[in-house]
Amino acid sequence: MIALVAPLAVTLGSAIAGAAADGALGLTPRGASRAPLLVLVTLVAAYLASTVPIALAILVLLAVATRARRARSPSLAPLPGLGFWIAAGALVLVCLSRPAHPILWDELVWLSKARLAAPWPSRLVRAALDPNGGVIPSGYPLFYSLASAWLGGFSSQRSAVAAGAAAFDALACVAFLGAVWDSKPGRRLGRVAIAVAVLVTCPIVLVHLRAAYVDLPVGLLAATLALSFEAPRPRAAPAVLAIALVGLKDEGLAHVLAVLAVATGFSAIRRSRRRLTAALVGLGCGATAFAAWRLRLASAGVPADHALNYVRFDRAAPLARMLASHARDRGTWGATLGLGAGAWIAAWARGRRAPGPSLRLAATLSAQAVALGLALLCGPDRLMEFAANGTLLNRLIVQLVPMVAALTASWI
Amino acid sequence: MQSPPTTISRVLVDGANRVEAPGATHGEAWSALGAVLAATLLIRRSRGAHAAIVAFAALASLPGLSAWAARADGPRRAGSSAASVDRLSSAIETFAREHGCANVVRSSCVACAPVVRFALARSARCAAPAPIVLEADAIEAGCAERSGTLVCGTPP
Repeated sequence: MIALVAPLAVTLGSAIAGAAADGALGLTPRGASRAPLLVLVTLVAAYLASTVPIALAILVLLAVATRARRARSPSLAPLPGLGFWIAAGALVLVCLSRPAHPILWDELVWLSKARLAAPWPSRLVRAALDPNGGVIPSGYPLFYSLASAWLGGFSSQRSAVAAGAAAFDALACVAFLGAVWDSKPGRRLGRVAIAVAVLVTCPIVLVHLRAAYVDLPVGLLAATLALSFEAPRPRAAPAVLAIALVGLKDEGLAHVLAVLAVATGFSAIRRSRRRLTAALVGLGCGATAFAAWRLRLASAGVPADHALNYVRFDRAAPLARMLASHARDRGTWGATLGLGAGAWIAAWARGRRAPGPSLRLAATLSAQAVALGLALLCGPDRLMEFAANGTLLNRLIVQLVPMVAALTASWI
Repeated sequence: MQSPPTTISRVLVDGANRVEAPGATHGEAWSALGAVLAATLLIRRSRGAHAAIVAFAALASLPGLSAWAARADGPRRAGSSAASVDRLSSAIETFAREHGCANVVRSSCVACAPVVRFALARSARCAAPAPIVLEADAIEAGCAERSGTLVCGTPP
């Protein structure tokens, strides 16, 4: 069991700082996902200040400039009650029941960077921007490692950074379930319960909930991003989530582009100017944060790990074969992928008669899968090695499982 | 198909990629049945559709959940697995701190690579790093200092 005092104290402090920023700038919509978003606001601001301060300055100026036109939106959702917190608490408990020390390959890599970042991030940022700094993978965004260090109480202790990572995973779970709760009126607790059930009946998700791997948080925050457009006024939530996603992992950009492209299209169809603005602002903020980090890497002479190439269609057939081989592993996935496919087919079959956000979520899931597929076809040759030795495709599917959970739950 | 990864070394290398439940690699029938079940129930908006879907999901997850419970990172054994990794990581970190800096000169332990990175994350660099030798069972067997060298595991 991990030590909880420091993560709780930092989370509370971040929420208070986020609430202060929210009070001044009106960043988040009301609802169940607001509290975790407030923590995320602080973490994202600290991340930008540490890595690309110019991007933070531009975004704060933009937020201040548009502040005058904002008014507090009415709450879509009633505040979540005991049932929500029991369901969310179950997932949080799984996250917090992780081993006190990292024991999986990549979590040791992520958290070795977190140790370097404690108590202050400058040492990690300097090493990441040094071609001989020894930070791997080269050029990777640093948000997860920095957030783990901060939430772990700014300590480089081996167990503290693991506790910080667990706190971040728990935060992503609560943000996701809050977004499921907020997504439409009526039977909110039923939807949350279904989303939790879909997640915990996928055995590999239980492994990732208790590990400092970034794939599940990416999936949870991408689904939260998609669901944030169910609020009548998403405000700056999509922007905050987009910056967090591109800071977590290179694939985060693919998710941001996919989710926000679909959100833009549906907002235009629904003639919702506020949602359309939020989607475009989110796209701009995500792209700015990603480009600013890549520019810093380029100016420091550090090669990015995932430099894009031209499309290699010859990879499609072997990748499809490997994907089919992985996806039929019942021990890893249970029936999650099959049930997700069924919910996806049902959404398209019923079209506009599908309930609430089902069709939008089905379209988003398709766009995410296409974006990840394109990233695989355009990525460096090493990706095919990773895919062949089994360390890539399953992780990408894990990134889609939260959207499958949201889609299945949306039918309630 | 292998058995669930019950040793910490196997979990460390490959544990996050699959659960490895015995005999569960041919799950296409479950996936197909799940897809048909979910699509049919949801399209018809049947009463109790979600209860049926959750029940089916729970049933399908049983081999994976039991394999996960038996793994070295499962709920019952995660504590002792973490203690093994922490013992190695702590020994390397302490050795590096006492000698100014340290470096692995020979390793037969594939799973040890990220542990060394984690342990030496904050270690300084120096001209003459103290040597570390990692044998294949370094994580399970622990470390001892022998004439200025940290030897982890059982020498052949």
